[in-house]
Amino acid sequence: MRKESYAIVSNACVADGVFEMRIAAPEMAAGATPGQFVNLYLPGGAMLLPRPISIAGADADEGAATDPSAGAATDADAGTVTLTYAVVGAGTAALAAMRAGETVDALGPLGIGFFDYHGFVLPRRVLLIGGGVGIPPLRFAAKWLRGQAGGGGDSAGGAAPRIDAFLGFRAEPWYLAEFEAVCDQVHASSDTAGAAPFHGNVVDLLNARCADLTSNEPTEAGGEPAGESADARHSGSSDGSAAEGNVGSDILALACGPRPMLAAAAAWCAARGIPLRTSLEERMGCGYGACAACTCRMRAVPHLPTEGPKPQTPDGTVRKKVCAHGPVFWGEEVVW
Amino acid sequence: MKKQFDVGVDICGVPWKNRIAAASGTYNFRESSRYYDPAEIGCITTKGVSPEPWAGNETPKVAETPGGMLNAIGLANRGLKGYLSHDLKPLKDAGATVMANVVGHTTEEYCAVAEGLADSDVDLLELNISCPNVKEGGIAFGTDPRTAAALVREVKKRSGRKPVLVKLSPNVTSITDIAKAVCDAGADGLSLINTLIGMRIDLKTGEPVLANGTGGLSGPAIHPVAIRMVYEVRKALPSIPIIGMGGVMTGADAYEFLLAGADAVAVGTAALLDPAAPPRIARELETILFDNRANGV
Repeated sequence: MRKESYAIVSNACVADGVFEMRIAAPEMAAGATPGQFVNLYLPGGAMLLPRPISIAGADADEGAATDPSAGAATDADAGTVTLTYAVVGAGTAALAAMRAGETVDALGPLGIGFFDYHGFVLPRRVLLIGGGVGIPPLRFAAKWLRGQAGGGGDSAGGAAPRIDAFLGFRAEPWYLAEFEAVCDQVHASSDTAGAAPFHGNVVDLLNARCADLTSNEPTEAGGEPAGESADARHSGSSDGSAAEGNVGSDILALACGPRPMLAAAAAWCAARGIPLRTSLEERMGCGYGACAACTCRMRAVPHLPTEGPKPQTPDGTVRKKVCAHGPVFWGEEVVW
Repeated sequence: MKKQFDVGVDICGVPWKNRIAAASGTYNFRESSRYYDPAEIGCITTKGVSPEPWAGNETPKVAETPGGMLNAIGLANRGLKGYLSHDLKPLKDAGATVMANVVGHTTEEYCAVAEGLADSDVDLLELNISCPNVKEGGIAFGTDPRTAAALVREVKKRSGRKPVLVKLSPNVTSITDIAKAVCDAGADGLSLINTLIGMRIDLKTGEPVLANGTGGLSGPAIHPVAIRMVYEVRKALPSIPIIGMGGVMTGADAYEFLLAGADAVAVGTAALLDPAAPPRIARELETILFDNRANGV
């Protein structure tokens, strides 16, 4: 992997202050996993630091369009990577001013994604918990899960998980059609009364829609009991049940959004024994693990397969780089 | 007629295959070696190492400035023991020339690291008396000629046969006074410059952008300051090995340092903006040096 120039296929406003850039990057699209991000570099030489943008979609050259249920992959999407970003300052404003046909320098895919952990197999059910500009990477996650189900090629195999999305917006919802194409149910909330079916934040929405959820729902197949031994989970056995592969739970939650929302989502999941993969945001320098600008405090979670250093300090915490050891971490790991 | 430069160089008795180094704090073996072979460039300067692990500062630790960036990482590192196994060993196994950046809160801490490295495979030590982002140590040793000289004398007693370079701060009235003092005290070479102390304030909150308040400015914005300082120090000290650094983005920027009097050039911020920048800059510099030779410049 190296920093390269990519042609911009499109760069359009999808909601108030939110833009979606698609770049022609077949190799990046083929290698990207949900939750990873791309460093975008600005032209001109005055603004030096890369803007880390999470991947909202990656359509490989082949296969993306073979399963109609996998969403609206079209020929135009083949070999493209979709990067959705909010305009929050001069740098992202400069990105928004770029036009199709121009090139942009980028490095990626970078980081550890939602499913990039040892022993992952498809769960029976996935909850997507997103807020604002944290929503786009969950769209890639849902689409990827649909593409993995049913086996074939290098997919994770197994039955399609049920995917429920819980999406919180400040004002009018956006991207709902994209989620409806790849999810079983999509629930939207808005801080603005009347803008979405539910008025409130996304954790209020979770409480309203599925307060009674627990990690091991009774299913026809019979869920595996929680609390499988660490040995079983780390065996990497691909014929293990979903519960074994997914750290003792039939359900896996994924979250991305503002930090207070993520903290609340982590508490909500922890109270129900539902493992959570949460994507953090932090101001980065290099974005690839060299400068250590983006470290966040993490605690030891010996029962979960984690990345990065083990705690050495007396308080049992360690700082990990959001860019290289994340951006996706276990909810239990993060010192909120 | 301008001076001719060979591609390779000898720094304090250590041969470098080319004149480009990775600057301290911008190279991490696990991540950076995915982008280039560390033996491709003259030297890898590793991130500041202290006797025990340091956690570093709180976030935000970086801020952008026109043509530059502020950082206040705070020398987060895994300590000497972890350094030897996690940083030094893989680099030496890969065939790299390695300079260890040495930090401490006290003279004793600097000496403990120097002693711990004296019998290691490391090629060079770079005494960091110029980090502006730690509360004790760092720059506190680098702004007074007598304090700096005293530290160098103590470290030289404990560093065995390892050459000791001293990394100087630009945040002083006269960098040549400090340079002369540390060289008189036994420094084998000099690295200059470290970052310039700066600050940005968030217009919405009225508070400093960095959690640390101030940070160190690096990048193209400081290149002319660094060129001037290398030029002055070279004039004052004609024969001491000098590694120049500050905002090098291209081979031409590096060549300018050689013309100012540096023997070698370190690349820092550019590597944060493109992981493969150091070997690219080494190739660009090589082309410039070959062309000059061919044209008899």
